[in-house]
Amino acid sequence: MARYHCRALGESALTIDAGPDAMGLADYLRGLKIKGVVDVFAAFDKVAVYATGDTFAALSAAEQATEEFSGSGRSNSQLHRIPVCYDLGADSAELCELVDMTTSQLIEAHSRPEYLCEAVGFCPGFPYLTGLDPRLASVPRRSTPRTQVDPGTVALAAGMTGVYTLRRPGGWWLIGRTPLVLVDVEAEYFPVSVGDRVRFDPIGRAEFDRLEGQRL
Amino acid sequence: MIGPPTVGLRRFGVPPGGPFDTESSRLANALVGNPPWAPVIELALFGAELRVESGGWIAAVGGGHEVTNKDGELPIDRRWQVHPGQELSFRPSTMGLRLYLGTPGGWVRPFEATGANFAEGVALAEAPWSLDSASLRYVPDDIPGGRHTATVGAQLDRVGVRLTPTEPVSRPGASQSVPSIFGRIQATPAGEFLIHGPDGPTIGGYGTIGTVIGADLDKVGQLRPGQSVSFEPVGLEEARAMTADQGARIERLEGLIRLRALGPR
Repeated sequence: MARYHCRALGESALTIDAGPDAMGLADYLRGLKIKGVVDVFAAFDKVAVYATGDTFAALSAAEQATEEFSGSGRSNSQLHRIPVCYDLGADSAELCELVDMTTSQLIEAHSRPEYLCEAVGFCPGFPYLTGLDPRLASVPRRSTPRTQVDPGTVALAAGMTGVYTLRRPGGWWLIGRTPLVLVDVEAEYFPVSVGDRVRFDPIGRAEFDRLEGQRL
Repeated sequence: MIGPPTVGLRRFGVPPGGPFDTESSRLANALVGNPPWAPVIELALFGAELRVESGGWIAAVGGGHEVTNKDGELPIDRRWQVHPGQELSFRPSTMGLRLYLGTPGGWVRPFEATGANFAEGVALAEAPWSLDSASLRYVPDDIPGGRHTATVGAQLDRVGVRLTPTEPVSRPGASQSVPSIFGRIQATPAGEFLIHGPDGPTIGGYGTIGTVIGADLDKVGQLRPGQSVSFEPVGLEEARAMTADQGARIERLEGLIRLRALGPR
């Protein structure tokens, strides 16, 4: 009896509903280095497996291995501390009004929790972080997305917080900016992985200017 | 300029990239004696004016463009000998969307050219795409899936192709983003389709109806605004066979081109 439900994404990929085991299963499948499997990742409660060449053989092997997975936990999880200048949050005032908080309450509420990275995507290196303060968890996306959000912008919406790593359109509430670089696609620099933990440390404008452009 | 697809970085949110129309790109490379994934130039819709700086060979395969020099029109799906100072004019045409230019060694020379003799003006036996009522086969999420017709919208790029179905199709979105892939067909809350391209997001939150089969992904790269498209559901087993056939067909064409390059028989 299959413990997890698998679903085909066309002929060359499948997703597995792995619930709370998603991160562990993704690590396990990636570690097996199955022939023909080129990508494995976890996103929230799903695991995705991508294959090339004889995709049937590769995906069948991945499915078989999933059956045999014993539910072991994650091997390693890093804690990243990301400095944030909350003075640079373009939507902070509007958000404070929406959730009935003062600016300092907002900063305290956002910088206190330790967040868990449950997915990376939307754009390269963008971490989807869960663990938001309950007072901020019900904030919806903005009704009209911005056409451009600058790299380093820290934002929240839909029960999550994250950092725009590249210039992209965005519908989340912008509450601050980190001076640090979180992604360099050319150099394959991606410090934050699914399963990692993140804390945000409030900094002032001078510290922001001092750190701007450095890597996380 | 487009190199081979990258793999292994989806976990960091990096899509595979690579040519949108793999068949045209591979054949453009074959015509100039390159390995299949040598870097090509992918032209989409906008046209271009190119001036040749040093002479050599250029192959052009795909659609969307008419190419002229001062002597007249140059044939598509062929290779041309070009000379320093020559000016090539790429104008949008009414068939297909993307044109692939190959040159011996690729455009930044990360690959070795094979140095073979290239046959002059090898014509491809089969056009790499067809415009008469584009039909995309897809593996539906819910068996047996339905047939849909849709019109390609003006918003289309390497991230995705937006289409408006004749009858609106809407699917409930996931509460959180779920893994996606080149060819995934999303049905947005507004009832539109969005097919993810090679630079599309690795995860997405809209509802989906299924995934375009591998054999038809090249056709997605040649869809033009205003074109009518039908979506035909096929089973996973069938899809695998069709995609394997398509792979074999491209290899056969590449082989034919290499054979002709060996000289007159």
